[in-house]
Amino acid sequence: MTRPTETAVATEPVGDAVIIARSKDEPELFAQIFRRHAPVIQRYVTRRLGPSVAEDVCADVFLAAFRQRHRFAPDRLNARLDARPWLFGIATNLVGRHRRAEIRALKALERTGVDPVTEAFEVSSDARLGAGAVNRRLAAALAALRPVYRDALLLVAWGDLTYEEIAVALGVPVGTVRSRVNRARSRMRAALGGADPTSIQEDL
Amino acid sequence: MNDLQPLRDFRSEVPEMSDVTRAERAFVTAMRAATPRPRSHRPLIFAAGLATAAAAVAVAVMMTSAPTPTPRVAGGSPATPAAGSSAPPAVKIKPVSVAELLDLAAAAPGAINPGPGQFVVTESLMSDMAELGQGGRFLYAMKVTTWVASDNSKPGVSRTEQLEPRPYPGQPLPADLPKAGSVDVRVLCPVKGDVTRRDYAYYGTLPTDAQGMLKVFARFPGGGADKNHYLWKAGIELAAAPMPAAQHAAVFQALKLIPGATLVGEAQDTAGRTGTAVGRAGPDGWRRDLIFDPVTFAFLGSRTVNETGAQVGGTAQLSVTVADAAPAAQPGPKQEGC
Repeated sequence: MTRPTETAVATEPVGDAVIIARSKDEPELFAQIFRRHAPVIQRYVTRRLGPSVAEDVCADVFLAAFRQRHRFAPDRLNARLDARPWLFGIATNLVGRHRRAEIRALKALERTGVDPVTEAFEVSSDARLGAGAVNRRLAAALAALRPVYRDALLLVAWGDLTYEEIAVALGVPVGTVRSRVNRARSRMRAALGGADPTSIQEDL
Repeated sequence: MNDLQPLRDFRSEVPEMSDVTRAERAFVTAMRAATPRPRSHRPLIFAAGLATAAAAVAVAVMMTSAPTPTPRVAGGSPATPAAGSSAPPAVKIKPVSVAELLDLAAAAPGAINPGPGQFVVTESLMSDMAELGQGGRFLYAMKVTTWVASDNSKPGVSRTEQLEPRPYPGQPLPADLPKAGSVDVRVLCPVKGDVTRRDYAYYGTLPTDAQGMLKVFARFPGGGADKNHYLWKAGIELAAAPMPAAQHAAVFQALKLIPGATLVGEAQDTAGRTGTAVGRAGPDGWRRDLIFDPVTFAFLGSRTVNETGAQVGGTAQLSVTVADAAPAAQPGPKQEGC
């Protein structure tokens, strides 16, 4: 009997880098990159800016990525390279163009307890009630963060990226990512009432 | 990273994009507007040589051209994206190998994310061979809906509706068949012991790599002399099981490890939906196919084809959703309370 473990079939999925490289000659293959990653990118953008602009911003992310596809990891011929950090980096830039709207929504939530970003989505009323006070404080703290801190923190918390991936996404050294995330986290801890206030004083 | 949890939960009710296919069509329209028209009709063979890792994946993809091409503006890129008149069909990739089709299936969107205590609701059609006395073969069909607690924490419900039986290929429909329309609702008690658990949380504990998942196939109930045959059948069952995206992808990666599979091409699932299939013939000469959506490569269902090529059984996964509650149900007559 043939043992399945001995077959010579490759087990790795066709990597993003392979598809992107092929899309240089066959542009429409890039639709595969959209199909793979748009759900996650759009959810991320929606959590930051709300559903009304997220769809357009998400489409812009992939169009920008499509136009820049020649620049995707040209120096690293790693066929399994995941396009996610690169796409999150573009998304972060484009979300940054809507900073005022993002802050406005966070402050509205802080003030009224109603989140313009999530109003349209269903959630059990229990969850909404229970999280109300926490969310208002989170919103206030997020709104008060410096933009580069907020970007790094949300790529960890909502983008599920590692520090190394965030470094790729934002084009900064890993050490910088670490310090941005740490500072952002200490502010957030303080906002939720669990922290040592001295660490906050220091970088206000 | 516990202090991040409140932030992770914040706005977590925002769902993933629900209609990727529609969004992809809009994106393809915009992409076409942003680029000179690609040469189509030309199979692109692309393999080894791009990179060492890519070399292992002998890849060839054939682009099928859009039946109704986007109108072109003379002189190159139109100034505005082709206006919303008729969205172009999504780009179709025609897989040229079993491995590539299963890769695409592994990367397909559509995973659910139920919370603890929520129910995973699976709606499916099932058809299989049955026999009423001597020579009374026919194909029964039913619609099965199950509500299973995502973490096995409380009883679930199964609802089975008998549908119109169909003749077995080449034979008349026997008389005195059970009537269609009868509905049976039962309680599904939480399962004791991991071996028989079939809930989302349990599936979430399975390995996420191909070799690990293949070992799960091997532990599946069943058996038989042809090991690869039952591994393949176990894989078909797990392909239909609701589980986190990482494990679901591993199921398709593990199926790639089973030798003897072939591309089948177009196939219809039990709901009559046309997809693209991969199959493997068993020692009985019958081939078991997995059928995928031709655009998104999401798993649609499975079917069994006999030696003459006629379909003698199959499934169709109609929907997998999440609900807060299951309908009321009484334990069956021979069933004790949970």
